[in-house]
Amino acid sequence: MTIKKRLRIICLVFSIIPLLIVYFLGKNAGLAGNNAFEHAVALALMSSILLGLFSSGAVRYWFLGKQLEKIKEFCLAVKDGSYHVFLPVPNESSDIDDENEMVELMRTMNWMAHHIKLNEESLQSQKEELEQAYTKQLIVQKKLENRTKQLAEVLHKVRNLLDHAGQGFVSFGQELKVAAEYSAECVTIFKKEIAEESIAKLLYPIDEKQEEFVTNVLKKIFTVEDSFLRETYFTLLPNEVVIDCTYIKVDYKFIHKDSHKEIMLILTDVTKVRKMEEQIQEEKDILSMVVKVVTQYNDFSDAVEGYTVFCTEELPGIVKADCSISEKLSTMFRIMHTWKGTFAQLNMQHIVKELHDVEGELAALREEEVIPAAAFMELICSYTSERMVSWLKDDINILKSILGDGFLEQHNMVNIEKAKLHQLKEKIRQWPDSPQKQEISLGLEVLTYCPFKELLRAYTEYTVSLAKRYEKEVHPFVITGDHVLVNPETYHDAAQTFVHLFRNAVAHGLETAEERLDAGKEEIGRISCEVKLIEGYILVMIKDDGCGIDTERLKNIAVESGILDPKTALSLSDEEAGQLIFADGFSSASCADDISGRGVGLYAVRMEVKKLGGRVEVHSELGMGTEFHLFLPFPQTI
Amino acid sequence: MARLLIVDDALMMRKTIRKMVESAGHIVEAEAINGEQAIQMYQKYAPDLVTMDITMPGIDGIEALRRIMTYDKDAKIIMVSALGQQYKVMEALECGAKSYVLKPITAEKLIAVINQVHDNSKSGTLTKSVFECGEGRHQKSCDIILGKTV
Repeated sequence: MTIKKRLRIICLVFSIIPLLIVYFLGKNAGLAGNNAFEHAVALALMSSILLGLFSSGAVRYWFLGKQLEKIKEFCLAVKDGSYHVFLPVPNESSDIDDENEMVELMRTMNWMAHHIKLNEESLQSQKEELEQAYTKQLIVQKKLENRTKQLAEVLHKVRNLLDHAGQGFVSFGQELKVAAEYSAECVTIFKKEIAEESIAKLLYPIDEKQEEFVTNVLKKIFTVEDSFLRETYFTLLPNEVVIDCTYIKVDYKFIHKDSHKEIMLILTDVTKVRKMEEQIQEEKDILSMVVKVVTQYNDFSDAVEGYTVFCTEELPGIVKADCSISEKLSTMFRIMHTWKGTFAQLNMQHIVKELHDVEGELAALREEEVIPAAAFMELICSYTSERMVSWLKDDINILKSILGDGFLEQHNMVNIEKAKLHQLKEKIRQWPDSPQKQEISLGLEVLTYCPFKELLRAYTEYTVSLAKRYEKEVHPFVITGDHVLVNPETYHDAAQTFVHLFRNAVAHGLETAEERLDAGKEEIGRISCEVKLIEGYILVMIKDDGCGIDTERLKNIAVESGILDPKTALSLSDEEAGQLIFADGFSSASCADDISGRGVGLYAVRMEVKKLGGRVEVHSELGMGTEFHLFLPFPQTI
Repeated sequence: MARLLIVDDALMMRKTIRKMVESAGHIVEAEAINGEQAIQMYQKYAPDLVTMDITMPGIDGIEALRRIMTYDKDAKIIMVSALGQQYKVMEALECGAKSYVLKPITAEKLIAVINQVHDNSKSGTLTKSVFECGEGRHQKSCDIILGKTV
């Protein structure tokens, strides 16, 4: 109901009530039948009703006037969000009682709008700030997204790299359980996914003792504070493990950031390298055996013979001997051990391994307080003479495959085909450098060596037949002296030139039979050749009992041929004059034949000996003979 | 420079170690041929460092280490171990050994370990003393270390 209607009701009620009071008071006063009174009341009633009906507008105007309209407009404006509206109000009265409630309300509403406006402004500025912050945040978020994307890409690349690095990267914390992140190679190595697995168990899947040890060491590493001690503990961890026949190299990295500790393992499959090393080692062992056997052939031969006798005759004798099992075991153990040592000395790997195993079984049986006879017999039965000899044969077969079948048939001498030796040398040359390679190479080198005398052997027959061509006679002779092993390549060129010394001895040294008889010498001449080893030199002495060197004649020839001036020739001692024969182009022969006389032979001898760092001496006595001493350096490296 | 006690039952090993450490400028205070002697020598000479062989007749290296550590908890003992004795080495480290060297010993390795243990122990003493100084306990020794008094 509107205010206007309510006011109308109130006005009607309040204008009728006094009339009703007047009517009832008149009635009581006996004016009930009085026409004038009733007309007056009816007129008054009519007036009251009219007044009541129409005065409500005036009352409303007076009470509320236009204020209500203004308030309405004000409220509508506020409702629409316009807070700048203002209700015109008079100045605030000092008398509160005199203040119109409507004005007061309007003033309050003005304040209200003012506060709303202030708050709106504040909110607006806050909103702007928020919007700015939001914009900034959006930019940061975008940057963050880009960075995250880049990081993810880098992470992906790194992971890809690690997955294809051919190495396993795995990390774990104090619980010793593998973290969720590990490289793909780990799955290849361990043949399964390894997240949350115990690292010690992964490294030693079947060795509980080692697993426990590794666990304890790792725990220590996580707990010790002293970095030096931690490093020491790290050295106790295995550098290599074998997982399912795969050799894995393990590197450790301790990561300590803030309070977080972690160990990273870098696992590398080194199986190929190890297998190759094993193969090379096997080859080295075999070649080492070959070198030992060849260089110590007598020892080898004795060992083979002795061991065979032991297996076939002595061992059955020990078993049957009339003594206790314990004594038998001790004897067998001792002899087996000796044989093992003997063959180890010859690097015979196969038989050494087998003998080592037998030795182990014998030792285990010996430790029993009471040795059961059955166990002893079982052991004897399992190691028959044939079986034990067969171990030796295995090594011998290897030797035969390398040295050729004929090597065993030699007595006190080994015969190796040159081609086989060359193959061996080639094989060893390809190995990486190592002390063992050096040792074996040197050993094989020695195999190619020969006695120095061998280099001169051909000259003995040659000299005798040469003498015949000169119609001279000489006793057959052999090269005598020390057995000096040399590298033939080193001394080959020098030894080749020594032919000139033998030729010289025949051509210029030895006299004819008649001359010799005239000189009171034996008809048949003597030429000898001796090899000696003295103080780092091989001394070759070639001697004839011919006419010797006429030094005076040499001096004359030298002067005549312009090699010396007469004055110098006179001052030369006999020994110095003797050296003239080694001068280039010097010849004492009157004419050159196909054998001697061009004056280059002895010069060649001197030059070759000089090349080796040696020297030549000539000792001669006129009419008695000549002796050439050739000093060839001999390095004692073998 | 450190003063050392060499403990080993093998004369050759003692000689080798002596030669190595002396050529590196350290002093060999004494030698012991077994665990018992090692303990006596330690008490007599109070060396800076001990090289202790693990395998010895009678009282072995580990037991000698234990007893010396009981006598002097700050003893600096380096174990000398053969290949394959890692369990023993672990036990020794847990008992207080500072480090170990593996036979065959090389001068380079031995001297490196000796120097590290010696230097480590020196810096350890300093840190410890400074810490104790903070608690006002060994003020005098701390002052000496910090150079406040002579």
